Amino acid sequence: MSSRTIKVDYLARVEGEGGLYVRIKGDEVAEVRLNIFEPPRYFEAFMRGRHFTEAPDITARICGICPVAYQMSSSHAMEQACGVTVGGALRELRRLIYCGEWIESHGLHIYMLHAPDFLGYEDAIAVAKDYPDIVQRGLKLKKIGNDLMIALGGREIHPINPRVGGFYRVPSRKELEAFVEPLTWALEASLETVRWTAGLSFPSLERDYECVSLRHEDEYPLCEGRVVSNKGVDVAIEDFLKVFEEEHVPHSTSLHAYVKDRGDYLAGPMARYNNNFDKLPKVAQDVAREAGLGETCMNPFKSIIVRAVELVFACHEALRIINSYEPPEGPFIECTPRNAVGSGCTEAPRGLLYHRYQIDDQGLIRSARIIPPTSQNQKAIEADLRQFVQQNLNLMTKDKLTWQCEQAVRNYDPCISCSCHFLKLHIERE
Amino acid sequence: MTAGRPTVRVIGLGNAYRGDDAIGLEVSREVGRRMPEIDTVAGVADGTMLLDLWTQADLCIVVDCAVSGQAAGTIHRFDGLRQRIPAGLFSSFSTHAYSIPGAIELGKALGRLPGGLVVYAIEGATFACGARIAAPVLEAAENVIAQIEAEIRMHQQRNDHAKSRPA
Repeated sequence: MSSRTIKVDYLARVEGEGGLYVRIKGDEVAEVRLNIFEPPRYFEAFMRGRHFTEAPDITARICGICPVAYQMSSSHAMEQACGVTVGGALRELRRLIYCGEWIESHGLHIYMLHAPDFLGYEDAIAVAKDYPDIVQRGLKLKKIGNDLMIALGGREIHPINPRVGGFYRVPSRKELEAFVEPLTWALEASLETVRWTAGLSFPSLERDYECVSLRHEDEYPLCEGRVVSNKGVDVAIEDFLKVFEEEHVPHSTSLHAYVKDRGDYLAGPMARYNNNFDKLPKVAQDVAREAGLGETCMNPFKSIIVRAVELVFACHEALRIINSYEPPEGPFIECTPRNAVGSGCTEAPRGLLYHRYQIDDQGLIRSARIIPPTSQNQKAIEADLRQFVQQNLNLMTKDKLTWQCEQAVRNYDPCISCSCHFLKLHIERE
Repeated sequence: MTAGRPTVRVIGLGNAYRGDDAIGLEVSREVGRRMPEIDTVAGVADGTMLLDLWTQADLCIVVDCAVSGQAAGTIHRFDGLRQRIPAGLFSSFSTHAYSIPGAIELGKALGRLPGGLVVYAIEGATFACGARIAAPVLEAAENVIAQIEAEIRMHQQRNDHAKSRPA
């Protein structure tokens, strides 16, 4: 029986530190493990005893790439516990800062982290030497997202302005109007991004995913809605744990989430798109069709196109909010703590982010539960790899198979920094 | 200085809460105090933002903490446009963010570099959360600040001299 080992020690362009191990026995993939070995960070434990108003600032520190997601999910959870609903202009401003994070994160991932795979380059610096205009476009998009986060959050990484109940300070109309011109450019650039990504070559892989995302009756989901799937899940956010469960596996310090009695599921841009195509603005639907996407997409390598469609949505949505913005009467709604449990679920750029807190009438946190998107996608990544390697065992050279395995992991834009710093890929063939 | 186009910009990088890693921030702030006419920036979210900050500068000086294993307080100086910065001089804890060498390479590929680029790196040793900057690193920073002041004055003199020459 032939034996071979394919090994990549340092897989770049993912956020985090971990390893991937694939064992092949004969012509069968025997084992796939996404190893995550960073020590647990204990955020949920050290949230206990802290004041409920601290949750957005503390949990934002979990991630430098999607801090707004942590701020929004924790704020929503605390507001639910306090019996407060944030609506009107404050709600719109929350969607706006979230659009900034999506534009920044999707722009970064599409152009700087994922595109090199499709173009056959080691990294974005190498891409920039041959395609400077493409990389310039990505950097400009990313900067507009960053600037929007600075305008609303005070700074782009770990913003300091969002709080439970709203914001510490809200912008004037004039401050937001300054973004009309750059966002108008960004919308056009996003449409170009969809067309450009649609012209890339995609490895063949289709899976029968259970796509899990928020769904809202009036809008493409960012901060609110019900948790739904294309296989029948449809629950309120507070019932998340009735449907989903986490388990510890020996090879990962991150828990693996799964649908009870079923198994792995997909969170992130493709899941959102598949569950909410009808809620995208017409401009995004039209360009998606033009790109040949259809209303659903089950090839994870095409997630780069879906991200580009979501860029279109985020720019369009940001412009809509700015054009209709009237400053609220106050920057936040007062929240009075009580003995209660609150849940919040919002759509981070890379997928659903669930928070649940129990607080007391002094406002102290008694328990905390956080389920980040990359934990939810770990099983799906392993399942993708299993099928992809099996399909291509005898069709690809060792180098190409290794390269595309790395690419398959990057399909998820994994933010493993919530649990690790780099990814080692190790494929062993017996 | 041309309106909206800083002749000289000093950028300090680092994490204010991680001991010696804050030294770049401290240096840029101190240069700003001593030379208020100079444009200074303390803290940049990621390396790609350096391109926006330095592209329009005639001279940009970037200061960061090094972790190459040499003694704390060791000073490194590079001409960022002509010298290659050794791999491993700076730590990189994120593959999403570009370090100084990565930003320089990206800037070269995109034609987005300043007229002159100087990189100072001061070796650090202590990076614990909440730690103070160690004495040898602070001493080295004094020397770096003095060198930066001298480099800026020399740059300004060259500029003044060029302007005073008949066309």
